[in-house]
Amino acid sequence: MITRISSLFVIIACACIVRAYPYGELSGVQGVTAFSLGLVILGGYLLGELISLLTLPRITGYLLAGMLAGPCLGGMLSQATVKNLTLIDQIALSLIALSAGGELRLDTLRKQWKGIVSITLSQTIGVFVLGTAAFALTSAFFPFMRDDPWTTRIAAGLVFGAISVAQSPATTIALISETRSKGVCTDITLGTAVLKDVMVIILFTITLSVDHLLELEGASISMQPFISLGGELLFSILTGLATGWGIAFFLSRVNSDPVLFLLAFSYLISVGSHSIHLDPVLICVVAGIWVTNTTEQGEKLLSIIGKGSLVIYVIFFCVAGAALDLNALQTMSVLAVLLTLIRMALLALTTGAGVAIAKPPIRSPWTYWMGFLPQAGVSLGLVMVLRREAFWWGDKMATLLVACIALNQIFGPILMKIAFQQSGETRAASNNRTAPDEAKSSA
Amino acid sequence: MNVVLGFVLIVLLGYAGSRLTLFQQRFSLGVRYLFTAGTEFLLVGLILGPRAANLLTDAALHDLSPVLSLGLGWIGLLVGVQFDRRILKQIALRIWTLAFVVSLTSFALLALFVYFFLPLCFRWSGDLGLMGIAELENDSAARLGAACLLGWAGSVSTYSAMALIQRDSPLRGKASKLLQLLTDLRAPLAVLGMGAWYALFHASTEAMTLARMHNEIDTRASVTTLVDPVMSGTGWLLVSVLLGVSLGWLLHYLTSERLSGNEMLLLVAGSVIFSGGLSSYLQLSPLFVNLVMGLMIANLPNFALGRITKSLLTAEKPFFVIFMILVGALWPPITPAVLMMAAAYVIARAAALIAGTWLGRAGWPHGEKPAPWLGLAMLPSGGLSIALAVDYHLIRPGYLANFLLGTIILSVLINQLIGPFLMERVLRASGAKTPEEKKRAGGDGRPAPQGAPA
Repeated sequence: MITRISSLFVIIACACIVRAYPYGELSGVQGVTAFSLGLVILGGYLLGELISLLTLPRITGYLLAGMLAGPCLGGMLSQATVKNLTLIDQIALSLIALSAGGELRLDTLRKQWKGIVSITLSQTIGVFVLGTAAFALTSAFFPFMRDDPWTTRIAAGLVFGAISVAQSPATTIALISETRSKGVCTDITLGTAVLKDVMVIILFTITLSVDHLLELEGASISMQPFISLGGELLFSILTGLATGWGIAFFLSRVNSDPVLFLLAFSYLISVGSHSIHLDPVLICVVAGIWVTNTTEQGEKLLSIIGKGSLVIYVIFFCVAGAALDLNALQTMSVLAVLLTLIRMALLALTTGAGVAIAKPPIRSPWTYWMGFLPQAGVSLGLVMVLRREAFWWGDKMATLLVACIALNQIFGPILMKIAFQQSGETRAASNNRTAPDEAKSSA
Repeated sequence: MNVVLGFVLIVLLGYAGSRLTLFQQRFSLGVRYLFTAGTEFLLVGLILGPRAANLLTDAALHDLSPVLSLGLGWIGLLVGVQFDRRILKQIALRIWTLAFVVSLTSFALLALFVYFFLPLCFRWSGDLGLMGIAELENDSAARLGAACLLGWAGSVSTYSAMALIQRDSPLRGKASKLLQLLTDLRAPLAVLGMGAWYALFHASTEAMTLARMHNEIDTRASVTTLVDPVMSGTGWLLVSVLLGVSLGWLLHYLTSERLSGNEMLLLVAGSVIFSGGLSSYLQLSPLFVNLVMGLMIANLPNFALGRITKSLLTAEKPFFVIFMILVGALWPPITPAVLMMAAAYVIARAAALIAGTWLGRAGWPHGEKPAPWLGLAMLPSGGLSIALAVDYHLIRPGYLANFLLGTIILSVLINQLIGPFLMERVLRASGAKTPEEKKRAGGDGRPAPQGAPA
């Protein structure tokens, strides 16, 4: 522990001293971004290790490191630097999604399909409907919506309901990997997270169309958003299948420099999917599912990604932490806490309903809902879409939602870890590194 | 559309690469070396970059720029960790002397040549670019920087051509071993030399460099008033060394516990990129700082040294390839001045290496003197020369940096084409033989038994 604390101190001291150099910005983007990335990797890892001593998940430490170094708190990473790290962050996300897909074994899912479907449906419908109603009722007390008509409150409530459904597959897979969880609970959580990732995009598109009808004069139901969404999802799945086939072919036939190949693949998906309007996470998840379930290369794929998984997680969650808009949390703290508590209650209720219907063999049904709280990229992406819309309340609502997502992102992993521990599916030695074994074997 | 085209291009490149591998025996040694030494990725980068397919867009290059720091740091650290004093002690003094003399002589001759030829090159080629000839002739610091870079980049070579030669005909002999040692020993001198130059002539003490960074060449006076030197050049040199020592100690300290492979990779990659970023931020050389870091790690008692080196080597290829692709994408246009300088530089480098070897062998006992033409076997150059050019490009960006990067890339490619052929000839002339040739030469004259290979 002393090693880690003192090293963290040295790194921060180095960073602070060097930042005092007056002409550093003249070194161009390369110096600043590389320095920030290094700080994020080392600082995030060390803080994650220290946090794990408190039995908290390491990714909370990574998020915390990002927040502390980020533009809202420490200021060591400026807004521009965080933006510059986006591409590296997206590459990391693609690899995380690929590994999430790779972990989804259809034969296991087939055994748990009842649980996955019932929990996904009960959460999607329940959280969406009840969340909309709860928001519409409570918004009478919100300063920026107090005097608005019911239609506006319902319109904003629909957005809240839709975004409340979203769950972060990246956090889910990172936590499963960290706690090395295995079992019914883990399978259902991962399956639900991936399924809800698709459901929430559909739900949000429907929501925006209804909102247009409610809020904008002369608006009518247009099929265009649904056709383009359908096309986007279909092409993402087809691209995922094709790339999955390509990965399996490469790993089985060529197998030269697979790390390089996967990095190039992730880069191509990260950059390419945006330019042709496809969903990179869905492509990678489908590709991973294809490789694991239709070929014999699944283990190899997971092992290649696994070798660099720590670097990937640290970069992804630190950048996510740095990108968190803590100013939004500060300005809307009371409302954000209220809405986060409402979301928690709804998730507890609907997860309980889903479990009651499917009756999966779960050891701790009372704490299981905690596994569905974390939110990250997809939710923030949807908020960005909301900002682009012409609703007058869009900006205020977006700030409030960002604050809620920040709370879910901070506390979600902690509660998720508790849920996994309560289910008894984590490895007993999850907090101890396996390094001694590895070190012994390499020695 | 661009992405789809890019993807098709990658598939085609992959296909072409595999065909090339299949038929590579039909190509000459130089061409094969060009396509197997890692420099082929420069061409891939050029094709993928903004000047061709634009799959690696300017924005993507901007976002991926930390990878350049990582690549430079990785190369520096790898050179550094090889210098374990326990191993170095076993090398004979005369080999050390030869390496130093070759390195310093070739550097001095090349630097002198470049210092005087550079303005002439611009004048004769008529390629003035953004920099006027008068400006260049008056700016001795810029000329000195260019001379130092081309001097040190020319003083290093790569041994990887030997692997290709050995694959065709496994030549064994003292010369091949000597060549490997000379290559290894000269590498840190170039990095340290160039790193010292960046510190002693630090960008913050040079108004012109800062002006050039902002394309404000005509406002020298106003920029000068803006810039207060933070510290002297010696101070900066001390900072470079201290940075390397402290970060080396930090990595040593962090890896002194038992760690998993994943953690080791994270700590090594994180430290390299952190130190590379810090040094770039301070306008110091990431190569230099990481080399010092490597020297520290290699010479502090650390049971994990082997695992650090293993981590470095495991991830070396992906990082090196990505580094080369990015450099290829950054490859500046080939102007007449670059062509002229590259051609002259290749010839001058060959002459300088021969002169260095000739001088260095003076102290050797008569019977063991290396061949006078051993310098020609040192022609193949590669990753380190390019890394030195990228280092300059990052610390002192501008027209001159582009010109120097273009010159070095072109000269590396030319040297890779002709180098392996000359290396093989020199080794044979020095008495290196394949085991079969040795067998034949040492045979008793009786005919080989039936069925024995010819």
